[in-house]
Amino acid sequence: MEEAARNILVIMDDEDIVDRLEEYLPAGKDVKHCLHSENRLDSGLDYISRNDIDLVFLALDLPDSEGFNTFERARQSAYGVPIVVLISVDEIEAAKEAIRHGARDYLVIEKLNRRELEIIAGGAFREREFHAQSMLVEDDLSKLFQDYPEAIIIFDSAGMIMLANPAAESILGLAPEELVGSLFGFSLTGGGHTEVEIKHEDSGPGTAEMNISKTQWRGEPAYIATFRDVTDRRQMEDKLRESEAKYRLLVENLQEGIMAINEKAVTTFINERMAEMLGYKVEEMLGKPLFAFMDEEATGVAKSYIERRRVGKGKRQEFDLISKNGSKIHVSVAMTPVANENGDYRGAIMALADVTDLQRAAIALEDQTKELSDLIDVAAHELRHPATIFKGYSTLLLEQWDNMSEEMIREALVSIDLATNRLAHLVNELFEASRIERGTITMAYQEISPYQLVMRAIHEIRAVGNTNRFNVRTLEDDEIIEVDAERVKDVIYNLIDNAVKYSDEGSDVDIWWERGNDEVVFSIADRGIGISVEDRAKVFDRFFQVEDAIHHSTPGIGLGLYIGRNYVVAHRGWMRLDPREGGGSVFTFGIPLYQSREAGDSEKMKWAKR
Amino acid sequence: MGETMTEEKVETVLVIDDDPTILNVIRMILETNSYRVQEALSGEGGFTAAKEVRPDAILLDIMMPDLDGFELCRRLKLDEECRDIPVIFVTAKTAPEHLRKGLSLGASGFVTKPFTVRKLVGEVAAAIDAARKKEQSTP
Repeated sequence: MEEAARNILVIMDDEDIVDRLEEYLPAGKDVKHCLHSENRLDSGLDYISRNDIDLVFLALDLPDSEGFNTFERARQSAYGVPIVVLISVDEIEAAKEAIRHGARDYLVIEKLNRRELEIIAGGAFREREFHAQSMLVEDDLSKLFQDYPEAIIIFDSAGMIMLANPAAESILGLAPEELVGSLFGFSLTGGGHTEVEIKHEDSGPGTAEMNISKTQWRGEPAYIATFRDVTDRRQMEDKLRESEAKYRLLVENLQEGIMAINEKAVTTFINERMAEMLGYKVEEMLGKPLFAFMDEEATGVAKSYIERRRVGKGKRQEFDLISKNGSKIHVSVAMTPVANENGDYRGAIMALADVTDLQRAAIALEDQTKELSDLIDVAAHELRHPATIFKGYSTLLLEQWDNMSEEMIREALVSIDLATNRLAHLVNELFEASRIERGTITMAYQEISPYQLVMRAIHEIRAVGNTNRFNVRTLEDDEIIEVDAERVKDVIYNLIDNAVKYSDEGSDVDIWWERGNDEVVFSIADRGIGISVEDRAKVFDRFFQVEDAIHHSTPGIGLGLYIGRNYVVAHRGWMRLDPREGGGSVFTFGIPLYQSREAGDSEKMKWAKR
Repeated sequence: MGETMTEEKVETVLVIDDDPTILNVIRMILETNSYRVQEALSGEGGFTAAKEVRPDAILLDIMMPDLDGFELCRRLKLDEECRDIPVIFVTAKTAPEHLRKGLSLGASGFVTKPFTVRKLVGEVAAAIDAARKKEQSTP
């Protein structure tokens, strides 16, 4: 084993003591002592900085330094080198202070002896050896510290940064030398593990995971903080969370109900819309058998649909679900089976659309289509009538004029004229019904008495050859009302015409009117066939006729009452039908005395369709 | 044929229709063409008139409220006294099934509305001619 030399520095201005130290220091078998002395602190520290010293003997009182301060300066310059303080008996307190701050030991000059020096030096050298070894470890640790990819910062209990590795720069934006001596700016309140905002290298602010734990640094309590840059990870997580949220939002806001079932057809997921569709809360539907929301028939349909979907057949299916309040909800369902990696059926995801309204709309459309085609049938039949009259008489007049008497010619022309009126009336009714449907009818108000209105209607009905007796009960003080005279006259005409149509030939029709509360109420009563209770609700419907128009000769297409009632309603009035005591029917309608003048005499009115 | 035409016998046609305006135009056309016309405004009334008047031909509307033309035709053809009177349907219904049904019931002709004088008179004359020939050939 190679002989090692131990370098001993004595900083002391008393040469006797230096000599005695040299004399007493033990010489081992394979250890050689090299003692060097300096008599001032400055020169001593200078020597330490230039040589590898194993042990320092330091007098506290020197020409250029005194007391504990001498030790403090030496300790900073000779880090890792054991220092033994040389004192006088009266300096014992300073020596104790030095030991508290890391001095190896002290020797009282006056009591200097070989045995004590041997013990102290031996211990100091062992410490030095240990320190040298730990310095090697420290080198490795230092390298690790320098190369470590995460930022490491050590700061003292006052928050002052004492050490930072190069990685700290990439995270905190400051070089280690700039960081050391500045304050650690992050709050410690979040605990040992928090996320902090950092200045990211190029792309602006980022996020780092910060870990702080207590440690010791150079004998003092300190903290070690490590930072891991999680900006990219966080951004990805944020994006994932966003897209998850997006899909959740999508699922929650879908107009379709979403339901997942397992292989036993028990619900495992229900979105809000699904629950709402049936009037449940989501949790009320979860974990329930799908078939609990169906009747027997729908269960059969759904089961066979699920079976077909399992083998990839059938795209959509419609069946009824039963809502919480017991009503049926007609749904259209698209189902996707879910299989595990072995291809075993594990359940299904279903999208269900409430098509109850759609179904209703389809039925309504069907009804409307039927109504329209009925209308066309009725209208065609009605048009065929004048066509027959025109063709019959016109061919007769053209081909056999010479064989016809003047009387016959006149009768033919009168018949053509009447048929023309009937055709014009039909066309007018169709137009008016269409205007009513679109809400674009225009009323032209004028002042007129009820008597005048009734007389005009009677005059017109007489003009087409009517011979019934009309009992008109007039008022002594007749009102003047503000109405669309032409249309209200048409209403009265129509009601009288109806009364005649559904009565025996020549029977009486009674017509009267009364002053009501801010209105005039007209009544037209017959002793006719009357109208059944079930028909009474429908008489004001479009195209309704008490008897199917096609099977009797009563002209018209069932628009008269519909139009009449709408005319009256446009005047803010009302119309109803009652059975007449002793047989027959009474139609009654009320019309306000005055119309609103706000929109002028000619007011465009819209009102609710029936 | 010439013989029958020279005889000045006035032929009677019974017109059954619930619409008086249609009855009027048919009546005027037939009268102008030297037929005598009897009218009935309902199916039941038509049947009674047919039995009473024993017309040479019947013009029959299909759509009537009490007794429709097909049913009336069936009853006429079942009736001993009326079965040989030719029936001509006057109708708005032009569907083939109506024509078939009418023919299967023993109708002699069809006149669809609207019709010309020539068509109406032609059908009536042809039906009466055919009925007369059938009568002459039957022993």
